[in-house]
Amino acid sequence: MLRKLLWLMPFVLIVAGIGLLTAGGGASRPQYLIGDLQGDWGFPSPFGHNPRGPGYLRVSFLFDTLIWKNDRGFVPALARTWEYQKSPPAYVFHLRPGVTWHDGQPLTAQDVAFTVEYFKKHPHPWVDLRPVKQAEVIDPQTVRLVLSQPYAPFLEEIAGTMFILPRHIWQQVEDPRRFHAPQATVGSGPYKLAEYRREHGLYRFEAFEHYYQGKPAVPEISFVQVGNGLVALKGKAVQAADVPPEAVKELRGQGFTVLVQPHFFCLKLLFNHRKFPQQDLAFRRALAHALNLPELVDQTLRGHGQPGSPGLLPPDSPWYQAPKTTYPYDPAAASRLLTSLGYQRTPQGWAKDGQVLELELLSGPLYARAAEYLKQAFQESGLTVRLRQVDHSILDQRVKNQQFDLALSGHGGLGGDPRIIYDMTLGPLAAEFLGGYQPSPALARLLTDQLHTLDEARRRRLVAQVQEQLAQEIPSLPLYYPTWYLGHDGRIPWFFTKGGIAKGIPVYFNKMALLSAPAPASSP
Amino acid sequence: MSRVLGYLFVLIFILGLNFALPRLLPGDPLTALVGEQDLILTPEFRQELRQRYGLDQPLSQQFVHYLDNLLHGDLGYSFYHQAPVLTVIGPALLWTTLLCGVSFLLSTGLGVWLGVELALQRTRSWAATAVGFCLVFESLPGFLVGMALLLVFSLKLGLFPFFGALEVVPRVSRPVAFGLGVLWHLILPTVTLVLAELPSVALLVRASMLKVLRAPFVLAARARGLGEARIKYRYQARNALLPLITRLGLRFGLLWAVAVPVEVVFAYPGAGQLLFQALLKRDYPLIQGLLLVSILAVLAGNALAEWGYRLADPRVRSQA
Repeated sequence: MLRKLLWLMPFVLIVAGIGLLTAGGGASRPQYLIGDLQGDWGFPSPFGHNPRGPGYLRVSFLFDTLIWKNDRGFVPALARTWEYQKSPPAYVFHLRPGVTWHDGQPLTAQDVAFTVEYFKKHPHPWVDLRPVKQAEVIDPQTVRLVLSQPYAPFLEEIAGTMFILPRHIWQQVEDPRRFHAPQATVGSGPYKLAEYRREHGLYRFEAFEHYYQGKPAVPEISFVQVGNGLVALKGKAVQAADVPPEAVKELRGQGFTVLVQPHFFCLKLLFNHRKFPQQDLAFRRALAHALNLPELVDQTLRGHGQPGSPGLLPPDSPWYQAPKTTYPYDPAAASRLLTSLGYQRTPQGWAKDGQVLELELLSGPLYARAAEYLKQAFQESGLTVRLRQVDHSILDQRVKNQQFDLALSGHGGLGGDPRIIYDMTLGPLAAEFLGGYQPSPALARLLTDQLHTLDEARRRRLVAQVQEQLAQEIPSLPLYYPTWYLGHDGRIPWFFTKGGIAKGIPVYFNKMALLSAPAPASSP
Repeated sequence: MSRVLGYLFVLIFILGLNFALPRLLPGDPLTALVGEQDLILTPEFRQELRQRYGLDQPLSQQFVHYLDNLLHGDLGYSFYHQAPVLTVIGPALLWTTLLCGVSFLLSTGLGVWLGVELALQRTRSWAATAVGFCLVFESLPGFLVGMALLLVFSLKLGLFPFFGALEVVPRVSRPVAFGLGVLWHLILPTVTLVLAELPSVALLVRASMLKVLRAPFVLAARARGLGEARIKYRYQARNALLPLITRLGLRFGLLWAVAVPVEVVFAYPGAGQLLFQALLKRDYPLIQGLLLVSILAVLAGNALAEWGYRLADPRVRSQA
């Protein structure tokens, strides 16, 4: 008997140890859990979060920005109103009176000016403050941000993305990324941090009673790591989670609300522009004609997606303009273009000077089905393609080092300001991510002009021309925009933020949805 | 003494490997960290990241820095989690110790018992069926078994939780209720791991037992009039356990790696899953920290196996 007890001892000790060490308090409360496969996205402070979108999103529940967005566009946040001054180019923000931080201290224009200086001193992955020359405090409720030159994406990329920091806390902080004290989460947002458990990916937020837009109607909301979002949602262990396309019908049948995410992620075929024949426009066009994109969507996404537009922006983007230049599936046109490059069709494939053309297609695990489809489609057009599957980190590195012929790579952010096209095509790292592509002078000029054009109608025309130019030059070939789904119990009226949250995070969890009263908990 | 020096030498050699291996992985940690965001980062921020993580320094300097930190008990700073490695791996190791420790004890105890019975009752039909089940479960991937258990016992029957290691928001604050919550979350992952581990233990013990069933010392024990239960466990099983002890030493250090798919299915916050994610994200300091723990666990497992061998086999004791 004693021996049996001895066997059980370590187990009992461990359980009791964990219980005593980490036991937390709390009475039963109404729960709203959002399931997430990844879990931890870093410490939820403006400088502690992971640089990717979900990290920013969690912090947005704690910290507010000058302005924010709802499903129709910009709405006031900390700033009640704002106006643009032409000379020198500047934005003046009039703050709401009576706003307080979570610790009860008042929020003033001093905090905004401090934040600008602090973000300049400590670079932030989401906010590029180079266009802002200085911040001037006009009075306790008014602040002016002077720009070095007109900057069209200012409202979305700076005013609508930069978390305002409490000066009384952060002015003493020398290393903001390692500042993980409880005060680091004191913001002016609708929620206060109740608990953060890294190993469980748990972020538990409690409503801030003195929030300047009124206390949120949902008293508590949490993000937590799940192994399988669909199973957890169906078992009502979480109230919202991403779900796979094949489960949509069943979930709707069970009374769940399933929302379709706008198509702001694009899978692209990249060309190595330092190699022949990929550097030749005729060859890139030949490959574009060799692919049947609607069939690609049907076969690899089971129809849950949209074929790519050669102008990069998806039809869901408010800046989308269908390019006149298109590449319909046309193997004959592909053959003609290859012939124009001096290639001849042989039983082994397309050959030039006795050399059969053979290309390697680099792909990651997430794009394996698309890679298989492409290989088959190219082979039907007589092109020999070898597949090479690597993990995504290796894929990114080989693309950056131009160690590839063709590659599949994807990115999001296509719903926000069209600055994204500038970053993707002309930004400091664009050439690395586009296989050494150098945009034509015409395209480079258009990309720069649209960035500094404040007149929206004119900017819209410029962005349309950019898309047309991209369709003609095809630096990369957009293949498809996959459809993603969010399943939830219907209690919270989640909406899709125009252009994505902040500077384009393509998810539904906008904190503004939590301010209105939730539906009864009985559904589904 | 020489054995201690041997372990020390292995440890130092492995520390060097531990530093080199993550860096031999192709892929840039900053690109893995920020992903597509890399394109829109300002050059200032990228440079700041490189400096912060010491990636702008030559490898030799990084190695010296790593050893220096290690001597001061500092395992570094995780790129992805933006937190000291010790605080990241601490809770994960605690949960892994719980999950792997319990399943290790259960799978070993039950496996030994089953292996002994399978050998002794090899002519019975149930034994042949059980061997068949063992072969099937041994070949089934852990995540598949875990998923099936999750669908049946959590989704259909509603008996167990869907994810995690504890109630994310405890309903009551008493430590006892908390401990029960931990146990409740532990059951399905443990059963999955036990089902994955037990068959190999049972089959190994069965095979070893078959070799000693008719050994002369068994005959001698029977001639001395010893009871069957005593012969079974003190004489036959004890001799049959020797190959298992060697294997257990290795398993002890590697069990947490075996637990990775189970941790993923149940979102159990263990160290295996953490290492898997760290590898994907090229989080060098976290990989190093976790590998170091793994190495220490393997070394400890070997030491324990040696000790266990001496305990089980008097011949080893007398040679020493």
